[in-house]
Amino acid sequence: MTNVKPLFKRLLLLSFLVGFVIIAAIPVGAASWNVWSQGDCAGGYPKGASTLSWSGYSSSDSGSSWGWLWYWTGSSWSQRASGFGSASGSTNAAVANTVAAHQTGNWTQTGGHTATFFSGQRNSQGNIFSCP
Amino acid sequence: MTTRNKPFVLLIVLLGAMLFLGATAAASSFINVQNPETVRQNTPLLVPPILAPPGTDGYIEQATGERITAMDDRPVAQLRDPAAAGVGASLAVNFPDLQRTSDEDTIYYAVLASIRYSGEKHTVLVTTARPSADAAQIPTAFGSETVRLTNGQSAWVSKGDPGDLPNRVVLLQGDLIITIAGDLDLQKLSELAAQVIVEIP
Repeated sequence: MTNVKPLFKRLLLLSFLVGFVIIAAIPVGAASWNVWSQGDCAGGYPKGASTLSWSGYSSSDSGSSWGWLWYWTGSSWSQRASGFGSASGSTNAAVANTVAAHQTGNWTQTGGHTATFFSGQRNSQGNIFSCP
Repeated sequence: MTTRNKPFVLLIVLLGAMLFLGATAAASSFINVQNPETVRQNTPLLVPPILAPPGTDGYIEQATGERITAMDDRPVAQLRDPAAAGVGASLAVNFPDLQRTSDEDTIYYAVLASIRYSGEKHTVLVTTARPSADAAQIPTAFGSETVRLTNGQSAWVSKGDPGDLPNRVVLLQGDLIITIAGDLDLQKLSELAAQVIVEIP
């Protein structure tokens, strides 16, 4: 009879441990965000997009993207267009679109991104693409 | 104010004045660079692209172990000891033709020189650029994070860019923007950034 109490304690502890493992194993949707820029010359003219996408945050959260389209003149990178986009919600994307007049040569898009769920500005650099 | 408190008050006023002067000096330097960590929502900083010529065309092989200078008076940033970082096996230099900037361009970054260092496994690009007058005035972020180099200088880093040189460290020297980009990690690139010298003919 003297061993009942320790046995009960062990069973209680074991049940807590099992419960903890089960709770820990339940997948919880983690919040995440990502930034990127990209561009192309599809359709015959240079265009780009800078994107901040996120999921799993509060419905009151928001984000903004600024995009800049750059042209390589042969000796310098020159800004030829800029754009802005913003969005809010628990899962969404803020996209800044840019477009410029056609010019043969190399182009690239860069982006600056801010949000209520991170501090400061995050930047993105797109691919270098060419317009024939 | 008691006489006893006077030295403390004077010290605080002096420190405040020094901080103010320091901030003013930073804001009125040649280039209006800002740290990305200080940005508030809806007040973005301009993000320039990687300040290097696109692609690998236009590079001319040069002998290693010699200081690189331009034929004209443009400054050339370069590594003091590329071999120490394992990228001293060969180097190639690109001096873009500076006459090719259009009159319609107002916000631009002229690339004065680009040096491509190569080793057995890694490649590092060191470029020298200068902003136009308009570009120099715009609050700008040269990276996603501010770091301090081993020589005490501030620099800005980016990682994960597209292409074969995904990581980047940018530092300023006067009105010059010096970029060290490569496939080395940011720690190694930051060490290289601390040993950059600028050769002026």
